[in-house]
Amino acid sequence: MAEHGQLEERALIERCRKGDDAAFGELVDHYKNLVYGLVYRMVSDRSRADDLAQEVFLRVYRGLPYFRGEARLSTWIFRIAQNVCTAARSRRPADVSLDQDDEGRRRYEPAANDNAFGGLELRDRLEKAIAQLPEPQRLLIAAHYLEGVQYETLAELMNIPLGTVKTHLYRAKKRLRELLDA
Amino acid sequence: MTCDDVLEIVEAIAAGDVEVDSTLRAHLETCPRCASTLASARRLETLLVARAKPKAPDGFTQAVLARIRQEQWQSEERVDRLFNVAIVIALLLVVGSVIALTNVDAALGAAGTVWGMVASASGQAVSAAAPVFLTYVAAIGLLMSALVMWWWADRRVSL
Repeated sequence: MAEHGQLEERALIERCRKGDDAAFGELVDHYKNLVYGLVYRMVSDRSRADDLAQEVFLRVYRGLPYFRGEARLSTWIFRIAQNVCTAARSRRPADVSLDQDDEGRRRYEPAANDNAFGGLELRDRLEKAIAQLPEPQRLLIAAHYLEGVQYETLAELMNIPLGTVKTHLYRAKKRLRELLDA
Repeated sequence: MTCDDVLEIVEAIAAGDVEVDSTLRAHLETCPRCASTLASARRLETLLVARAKPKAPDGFTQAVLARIRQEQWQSEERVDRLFNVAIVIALLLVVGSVIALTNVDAALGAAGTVWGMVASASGQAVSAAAPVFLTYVAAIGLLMSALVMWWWADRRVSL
């Protein structure tokens, strides 16, 4: 079944290389949610994510003639997305935390049982905590909780052993807990 | 089982990668610290799973294809501009060659003392071949322009 998928993938790449726009459209349709989801989670801005995700596919289009097929297409696209996100982050100043003042002190302490704002506030704090993770951990957290991205897929996408994926994810989550509990 | 053992795998338990067996359950029931840490890890897991899964906006594929077409158009425009420049250079070479052919003495004169030195040094044979030489230069210029244009065109097709 996987072999059949790979054959289809190769056929699609060949059609794209021959300048078949419809084939490239199929490729974009297939990977757009993975790429957009990942980019959005890395930059947290819809219009920027839209622009950067398009940039990923432009690079894919330009690079397809040189794609040798040593890695899977999804792995290659994922790496391009990763590079685009890293470059975008390096061009942009660090995000300013809304619940810390200029010297890094918390502006307010949320009540332990603040149910009215608890959910929203917690999600907001989670996003800020994720933003503080090192880039590889951020990427893992961003990709792992996208639709259908399992450990095996991540290991393949990032070209690292399955055990390493799990270890990095556990460490990232431990760090997130520490940041949220702080 | 010690607290350290549990805290080591607490994220794996929360993610459902490690099953809670009887030993682990027994420890969790008697250790409020580990139980609380596990509860915190599970809350985080729930939050991460519930995190919004953004989908590409409608018309995303069309927007990508439009950007590709725009980029191709810009690239072709650049090639067109360079093509026009190459044509102008080729025309100048042809016109220059025709002028040189119709008025060899003036052309040689315009070449100045350098040409004279070369001509005198290489003797009568070079002087005789000079008009043909200019034609060769023009022909090589035209050939080079054609080769460069062919290379660009071939590069575009392969992309």
